[in-house]
Amino acid sequence: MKKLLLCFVILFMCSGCYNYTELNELGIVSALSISKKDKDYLVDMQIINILESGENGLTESPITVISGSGPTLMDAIRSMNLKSSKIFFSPDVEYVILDKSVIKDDLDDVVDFLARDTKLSLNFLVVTSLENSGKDILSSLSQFNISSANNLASIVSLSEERYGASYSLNFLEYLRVYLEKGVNHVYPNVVIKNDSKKSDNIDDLKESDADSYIEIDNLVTFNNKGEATILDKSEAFGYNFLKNHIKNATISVSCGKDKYFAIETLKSNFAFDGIKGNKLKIRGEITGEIVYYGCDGDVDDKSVLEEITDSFKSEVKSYVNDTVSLAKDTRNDFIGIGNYIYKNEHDYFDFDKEDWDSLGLVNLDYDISIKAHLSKQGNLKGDIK
Amino acid sequence: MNISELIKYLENLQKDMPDIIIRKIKVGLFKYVYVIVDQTVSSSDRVNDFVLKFFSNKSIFGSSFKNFKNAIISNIPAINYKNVRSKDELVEFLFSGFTIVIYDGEVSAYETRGELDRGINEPSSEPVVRGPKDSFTENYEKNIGLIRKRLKSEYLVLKEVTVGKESKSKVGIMYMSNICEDELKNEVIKTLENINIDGVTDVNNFKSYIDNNNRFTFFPTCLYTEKPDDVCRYLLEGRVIVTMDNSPSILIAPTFFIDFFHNSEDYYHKPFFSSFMRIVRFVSFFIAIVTPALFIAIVTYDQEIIPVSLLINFAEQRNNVPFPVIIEAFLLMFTFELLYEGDARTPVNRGTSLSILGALILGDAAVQAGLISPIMVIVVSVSAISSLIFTYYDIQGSIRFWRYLLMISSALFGIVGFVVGFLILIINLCSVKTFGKPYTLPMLPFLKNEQADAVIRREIKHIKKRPTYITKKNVIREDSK
Repeated sequence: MKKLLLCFVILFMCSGCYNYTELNELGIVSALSISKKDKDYLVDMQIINILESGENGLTESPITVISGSGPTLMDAIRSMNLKSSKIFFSPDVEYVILDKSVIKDDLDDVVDFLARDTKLSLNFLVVTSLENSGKDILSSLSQFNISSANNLASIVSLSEERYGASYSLNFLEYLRVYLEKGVNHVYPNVVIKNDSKKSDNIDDLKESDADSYIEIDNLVTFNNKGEATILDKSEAFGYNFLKNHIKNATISVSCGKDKYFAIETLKSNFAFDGIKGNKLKIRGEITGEIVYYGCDGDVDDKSVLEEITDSFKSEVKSYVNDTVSLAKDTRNDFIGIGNYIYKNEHDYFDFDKEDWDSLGLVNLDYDISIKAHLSKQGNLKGDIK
Repeated sequence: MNISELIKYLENLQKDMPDIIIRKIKVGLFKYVYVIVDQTVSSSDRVNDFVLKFFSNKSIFGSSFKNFKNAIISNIPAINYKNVRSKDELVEFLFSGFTIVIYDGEVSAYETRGELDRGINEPSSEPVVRGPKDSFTENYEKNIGLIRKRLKSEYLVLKEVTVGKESKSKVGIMYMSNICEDELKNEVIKTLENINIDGVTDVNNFKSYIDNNNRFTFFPTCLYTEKPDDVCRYLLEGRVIVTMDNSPSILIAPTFFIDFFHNSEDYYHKPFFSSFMRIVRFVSFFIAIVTPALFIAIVTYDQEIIPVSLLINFAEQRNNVPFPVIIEAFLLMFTFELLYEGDARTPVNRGTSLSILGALILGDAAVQAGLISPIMVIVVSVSAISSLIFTYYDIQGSIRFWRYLLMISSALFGIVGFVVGFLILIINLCSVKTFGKPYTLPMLPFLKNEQADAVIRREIKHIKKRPTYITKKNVIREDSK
């Protein structure tokens, strides 16, 4: 019995506390940026500073950005231990900025590293920036949230859901697209508006009108050669309609000179519906609500409602059309048409022997058919009868 | 018995016990009556009014001494008369407050017991808001009376046993003969009869005898109460109760885990509220045990679980604390234990200073001094308050034990240690048997028909059956006769 007890005690003494970490030893990593310079990887890390709660607001920066470089990503990250006394704690990474320098040639290494790191939660967003460096983006502060990383992640998610012209690319989705055939990634493009050098200035936060701030500037996609294509607002809408990302967007449609009506989408569902000859059928169905009506005519009139519905369908159709045309023109299937054909119409194109983007996509014709169901709200003008 | 030897023995006893009074009253030519009394346990008024007055009246009529012996027996106005047959009996009666009368080779004892107990007060350890507010006292007869006046039944049986070679404590075993299973009451009576010890001071001493089979459990297996209405409820459920002279508590057998979550007040409120309170007690039982352990495990090993804003908040609070979390937790928990024990044993008029000091130490000064973090104060307070919901000290002790065990296992192995510790708790809970029945009845095994008064309580009028896991005899309440 004594020996058994001794065994238990030794077992506890030897195996306990093996990964014990105190909270104040942690350096909470909130965002990462990965880029490449010459042959070395450059990793920037945004770490949340654990500050004493000040009574009069922030006096010190709530974040610290440190950088490391090395021939491998692991080397680059480990080299940061020379600059910080904290244990890097990465499960709360909100987003990772992938610079165009790594997207072009070294995506395999980067995706492999991000997917295999057991400390990362895989729930972070992937963004890119064409105009600014990753370090600048990470260094910028937010007026809305002490954690600027959390602020940016929220902007991306909310703008997708509430605006419709953005897209929050989750890493798991990123990984899925990476492993699929016939589809390329679409990234939210993050930019620092105005003077990027002032974005990390704590004094700037004290002003109600900040000199510099972060914004999501549409979407960007890269073809197989690493050439960037920027999606403007209508193309971004079209992309999000086609991918069923839109939850609650508002679309304004012109109905004459300086006259508009606005539709808030409640439900939308788009799908590829087979290929006939050389023509891909794209079907869509949208349920929406008229939230603003500034046109002539009585919206209670059935013919006027039909007119509005037709205008709305044409508007959405033009978005989708613009998006598909852009994909064809830039030879970059970011929509995933090739992926659909690979999975559902495999005989149409030989993906193993030929390049889909430059041959298949370019020669594909398409037909868009959209159904819309609109309802209306009342307004002060009293159009409810 | 040799009277002269007996008198000599009592006189010797008196040398070391000056509270014993021996009166030698002359009642005729060469005729004496010895009146022996222990003044500390007897009522002087009763002795004077009923015993000594009787003899003083008789001495006036000195001629009628022929039947004096019979006169003593039949005319002394005491309701409780005992014929003493041995020296041991004499000692027991003498110290029980009886007046011993020795005349002509005959030794008799008359009850002249003094009122040494406090009156019937409100229950101090089980305070109530609604319902009867009387409680048991140290007076055995009063305790029996408090039960009898509630259950005026011919089936309420009282069996008496004397326990303790030196203390000779009177122990009463009560049960409803038409409801209680014979095996149960026989086992309790046999257990108590077989106790061989010099003395017992309280009914709680019997716990270890009654639940002798559960030595390796850390859950209380014997419920005690000081509320007569609770006892009556248990008797009507077919349980056996054990009461003892000089003990204000009564033991209940058998006891199940769920009994610690029930309260007599549950039956005086609406079912919805009672059921809600029972759920609150269950939840608080687990909160009291797991909160500090879970906090330690998450904060020191599995920080990934914590949302980032909370993580930053926690880290900020712990920034200046010099101790590891486990030391901080133990420090605060130990301070709470000191306060808790101190508060329980401190006289009421000094309790305020203890409360102020405790609140200052736990609430503010320790945080200001940077010894502990505010979140740890919250965690320990939540755990401590949750454990204080339980009125029974035994279950509080059990909560304390499991709380510390889980804290240590969590500090060593994180969430894995916590889960293993919790599994040990469940295994230990499920392994307990009370009088051969699973301790966790009627939840585990789940008895569907016994849920009317388990966690959820139904309307009293719908609880038509007694718990069949306690008794299978006369289970229908409506037809108890």
